[in-house]
Amino acid sequence: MNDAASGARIGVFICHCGGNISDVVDVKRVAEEVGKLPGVVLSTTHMFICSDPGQALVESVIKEHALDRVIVAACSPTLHQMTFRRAIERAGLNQFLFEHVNVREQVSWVTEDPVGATAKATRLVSAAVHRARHLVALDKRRIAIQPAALVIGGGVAGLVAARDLAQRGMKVTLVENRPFLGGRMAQLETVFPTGEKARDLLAPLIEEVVSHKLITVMTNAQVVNSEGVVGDFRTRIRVTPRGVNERLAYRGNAIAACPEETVNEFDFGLSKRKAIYMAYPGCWPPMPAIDWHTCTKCGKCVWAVGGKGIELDAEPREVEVRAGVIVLATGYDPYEPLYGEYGYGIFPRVITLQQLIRYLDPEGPTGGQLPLDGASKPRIGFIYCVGARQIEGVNQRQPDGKVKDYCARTCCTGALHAALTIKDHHPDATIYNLYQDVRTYGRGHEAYYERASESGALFLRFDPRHPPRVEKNPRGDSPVVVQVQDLLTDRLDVELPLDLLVLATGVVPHDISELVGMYRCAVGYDSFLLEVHPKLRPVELAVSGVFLAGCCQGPMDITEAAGAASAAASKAAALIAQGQVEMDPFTARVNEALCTGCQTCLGVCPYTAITRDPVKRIANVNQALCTGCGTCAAACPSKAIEQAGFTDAQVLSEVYALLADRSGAVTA
Amino acid sequence: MNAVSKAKVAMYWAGSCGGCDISLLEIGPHLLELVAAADVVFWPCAADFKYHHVASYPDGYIDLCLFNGSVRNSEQERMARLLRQKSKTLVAYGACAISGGIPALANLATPEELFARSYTDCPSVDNPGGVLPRTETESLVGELEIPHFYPQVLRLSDIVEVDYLIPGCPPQATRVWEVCQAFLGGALPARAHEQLAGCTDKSVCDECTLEKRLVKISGFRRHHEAIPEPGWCLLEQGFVCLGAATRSGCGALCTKVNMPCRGCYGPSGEARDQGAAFIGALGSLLNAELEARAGELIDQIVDPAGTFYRFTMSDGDLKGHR
Repeated sequence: MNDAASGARIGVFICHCGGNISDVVDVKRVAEEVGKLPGVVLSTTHMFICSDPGQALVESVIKEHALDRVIVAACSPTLHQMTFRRAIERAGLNQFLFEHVNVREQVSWVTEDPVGATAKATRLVSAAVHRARHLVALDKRRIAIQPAALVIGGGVAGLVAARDLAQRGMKVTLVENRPFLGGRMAQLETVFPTGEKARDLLAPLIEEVVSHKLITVMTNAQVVNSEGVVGDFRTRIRVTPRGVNERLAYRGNAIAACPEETVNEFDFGLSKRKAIYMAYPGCWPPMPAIDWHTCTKCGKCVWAVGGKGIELDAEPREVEVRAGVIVLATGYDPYEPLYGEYGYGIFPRVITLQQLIRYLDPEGPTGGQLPLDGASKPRIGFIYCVGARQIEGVNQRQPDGKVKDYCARTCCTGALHAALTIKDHHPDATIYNLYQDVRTYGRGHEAYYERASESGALFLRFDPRHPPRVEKNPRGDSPVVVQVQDLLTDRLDVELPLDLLVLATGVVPHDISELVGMYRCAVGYDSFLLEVHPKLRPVELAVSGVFLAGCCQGPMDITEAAGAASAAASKAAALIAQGQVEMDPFTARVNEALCTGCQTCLGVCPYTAITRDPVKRIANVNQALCTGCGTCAAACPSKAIEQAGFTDAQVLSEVYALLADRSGAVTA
Repeated sequence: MNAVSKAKVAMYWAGSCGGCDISLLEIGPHLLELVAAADVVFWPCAADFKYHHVASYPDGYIDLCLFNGSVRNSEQERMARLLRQKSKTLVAYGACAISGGIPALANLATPEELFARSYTDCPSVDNPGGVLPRTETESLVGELEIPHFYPQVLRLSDIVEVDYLIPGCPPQATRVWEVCQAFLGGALPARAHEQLAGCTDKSVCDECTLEKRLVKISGFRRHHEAIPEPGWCLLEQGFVCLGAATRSGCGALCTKVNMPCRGCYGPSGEARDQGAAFIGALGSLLNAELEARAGELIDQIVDPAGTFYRFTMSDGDLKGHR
């Protein structure tokens, strides 16, 4: 290997880390050995190089010995690489003329063999010396941040995030996939722990958002494509026409005139709606939308309103939204039980908690009446943890091949809340709660459990490995009968004839696989989006500039989702307030003299950072979009792309030094 | 120009097929210009000079020696050393001299395997006594010696210092004449270290006119199995074309007639190992989301080592059988 910069003046600092390293590694010996290498002007040790005196030593030595490369062998670079980069920058040296060697986590902490550890540390530091000779000064990239945010999802989390961002003076675009705002919260009746009406809480929030001059709301809008990085995301949004505009005066006539009906998803299939419809009373926008899958464009609605305000031939349009940050608030779907799971789909009187809530809603499909077939003393059962806390080998696998093994967190309190509401309407009802554990963990939630107990509701605890069985009642005095072994009465077999069985169903993430690909989101085993760190960076994705709000990250109640949304808005606003982002300069660069424009790299770039310059007929890397993944450099058949910070000379010199035989001679 | 000041040129043929000699003849009428401007002092293929003639020249007598062919035996090594000694400028001419070329494909087998195949196992061989070539043989006229067979096919630069490399199998006549003109015009400094000549910094794609459609490869075919769609990048069509990993200079002769590039000009750009560079690119071009599918596609490539290192087996990191 020839040394491109054989005149380099290298300083090597080996850290004791207060014994963390020096108890196993003979640091003095390492310093001595490395000090013999050509180009090493100074090789020394220090108790704590990360300490103020340690950093001061590095700075003074750089100046004193006119060093132009610095190597620190210490802890993991994750911990202190930036510390030392800043230190050498203060000494007037470019911060990328620095090499960090991990001799703690990767050497002293993983062995008790001092001889081997010292040899390994020596070899690692020597390799860094070889690499350091080829380092070049680099400049950080600085990208101006668009002072605007894109919030994806118009449920409560998206609404809160949009409002909070706008309150901080940020321009916000809120896109909602469906024609109406409000999300899952709008489908609830009253909410725990306050008992307020969900839509009454939602209305002022929606009003605040839609009337805010900094917020642009797009409904019926789908994200189709996204380019760019933190600071300048360019997102293409396809807006499906609503089919209705403000000039529509007689919406009731239009809806009544529509001959096409379909299942009403708002009521979880308990009712039907027209092809032109309003999602719920008081929804926003306060005008109907046309469901193009159901509409046959027969024109009866147009005729009913005298031709004003309905556009059956409107075309979808695409718009580009530029934003510095993205907030994902894509929400959840209730778990849909499999056919036959606790009799679901077989017996009409087996319903989900979501359906029960729609029944209980005075504005719901039955005006608040439960489907009890006139039973005077109704017997109503709840089975908890349906589609939650499932056990591999006991529960049937979901279509994705997994079982839903996590706690859905909202269904215990939700089911107890619904049970108490039933008790209010039907004081003579008997409520059976079939549960594994009651997890009313939130503030004020335990009161629901206590009140339910006091109200006479019965609790039967089942072993999740022996879940209850739901069958047709052979005696015919109720639609279904549930067999359960009750752990609270020493495994007494109990048979419960029920007029209504409610499955307290869990929470699954809304399907956002396209967004996951677009923003390269990390996804957990439970299929929810994965934050960088659950405690230290709870609302950030690993992709810089993308934040998480609400149930896309995991099951949350409204309180938690709103809190997470405010946190995401706050982090996003803080990032925008920086005005610019600094990024490491480790990007791919094209050697124009060698590039032929064979376009191999175009197809491999996951970040669409490479385009073909039509004039020069060669590849061009957009430095703002490049994340430095190195894929193109590896793919280039002419090695005409170089990865700054990881050039062939740098990497190979390091590898050859690591592979050198005991005498130090380099083979290959 | 009088006879005394005329440059001295030589051409030698070591382990190769003879195509390189033909390629020098292919410069056609320019050959007359070459011999008018320079004296041919050694060219076994075209002029009657013997070993002892060359040995009698003073050191550095030959101004330009074009050495083609690889080094597989002791005689070739001896000639390489002799010509290096007698030449001011030594050129590795053609793929074999530069990187082993086709003969170096034999590096994938041991000498024993090669001999067994050539002299006993091959179906067309009739050798009931199992006679194998030997370096020394007793005969009526005493002991005869033929050159030693080396375990590996070597590059010229493995034996002696080489000044220039003129790649190609064979080098293209127009490029050869350009180099000759540069030499006659004094534009080629006498000594250089393995400097490329008669080619460009770009890859064959630079001169190829076939259209890239940026589609991924869904299956590999050999050119006798299907007729390529005219005008469309052969690699994208599944024909293993090494153009993207091959330095240009040939004028994309092969792809112009819908034949995939076989890589005879060697690695392009900064790549050292042509086969590895091409494999790296190929991995990115497969229409395969899953590793298993990628494996299925790669399995369709017949003789990958011989395909990707067809001309560079002595050169790359693979180096054949060791």
